Amino acid sequence: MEPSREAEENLRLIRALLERAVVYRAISGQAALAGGALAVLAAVLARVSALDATAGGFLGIWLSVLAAAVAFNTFLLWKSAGSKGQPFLSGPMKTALRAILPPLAAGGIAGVAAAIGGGDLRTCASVWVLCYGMALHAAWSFSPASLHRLGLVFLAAGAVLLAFYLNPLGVSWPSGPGSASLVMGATFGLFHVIYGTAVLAAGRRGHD
Amino acid sequence: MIDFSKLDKVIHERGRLSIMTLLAGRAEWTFPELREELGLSDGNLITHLRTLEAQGYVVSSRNTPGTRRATHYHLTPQGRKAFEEYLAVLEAIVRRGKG
Repeated sequence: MEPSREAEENLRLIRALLERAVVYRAISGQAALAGGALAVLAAVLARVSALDATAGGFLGIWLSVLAAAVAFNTFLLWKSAGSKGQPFLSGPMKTALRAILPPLAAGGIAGVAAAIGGGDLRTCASVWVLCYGMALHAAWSFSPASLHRLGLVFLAAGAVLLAFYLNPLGVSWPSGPGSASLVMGATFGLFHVIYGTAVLAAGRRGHD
Repeated sequence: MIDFSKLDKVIHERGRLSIMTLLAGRAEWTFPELREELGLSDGNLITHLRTLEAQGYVVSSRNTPGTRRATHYHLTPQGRKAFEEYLAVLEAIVRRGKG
């Protein structure tokens, strides 16, 4: 093989491998822990106060939790990028957004439409869980293994919850909007608390 | 005029070049991560890693000595310099080929 052609091939290999070597943690351990704790708190408050007795109340609570969690995560990502001297909207971040936004948007729109349209709020919550899992899974090739595992847990939980609530076997399950908030608290709350705690503990030990 | 003898023969082998590239792109990789990413057999991968370690390009570490935790591999400053020089020679070859 000609030296220039061989050199070009090697450069192509290097570029491809370097792209795959980039790891981007779209959700920091701190943000997961704070967002998860907020979701658990919101689920308890919603259950106790029955604020989520209507679709409007349910959406109001959980879209507020989402906005607070996204704002906190964005702040931490901005702070982290600044401390490393990197631009906030870095190449890896754009790649991550391209991967996670389509499933997030699809799940968000489908869930909100189902809730507004008078659908079962537990199904709405389950769709969000499933689509969030799909979003994390879509970013697996450049995410740390722990974030990919979290995505798989959300995917499995979403699939199981949907099977329960769509109820093809006709089993009787607890009804009422309170159950939807419990689904949100148990998944977006507890899963993120566990993930955040594990990531922060691993960070102290020096590995993921 | 390009001196082709400057092309580092240790790095030029495709398997070792792939390992060096991954280590240059991220601070550390575990053995299973490298194996999964490159699709190499255990024997092949360990042979390449030993060659790179012997050359002083790569260093390995365990988080907790004596445990079964995964071994992490890093590029040494010497390894990073050798990789950058290798890249520079490759780019020069491509430029000359086009020129």
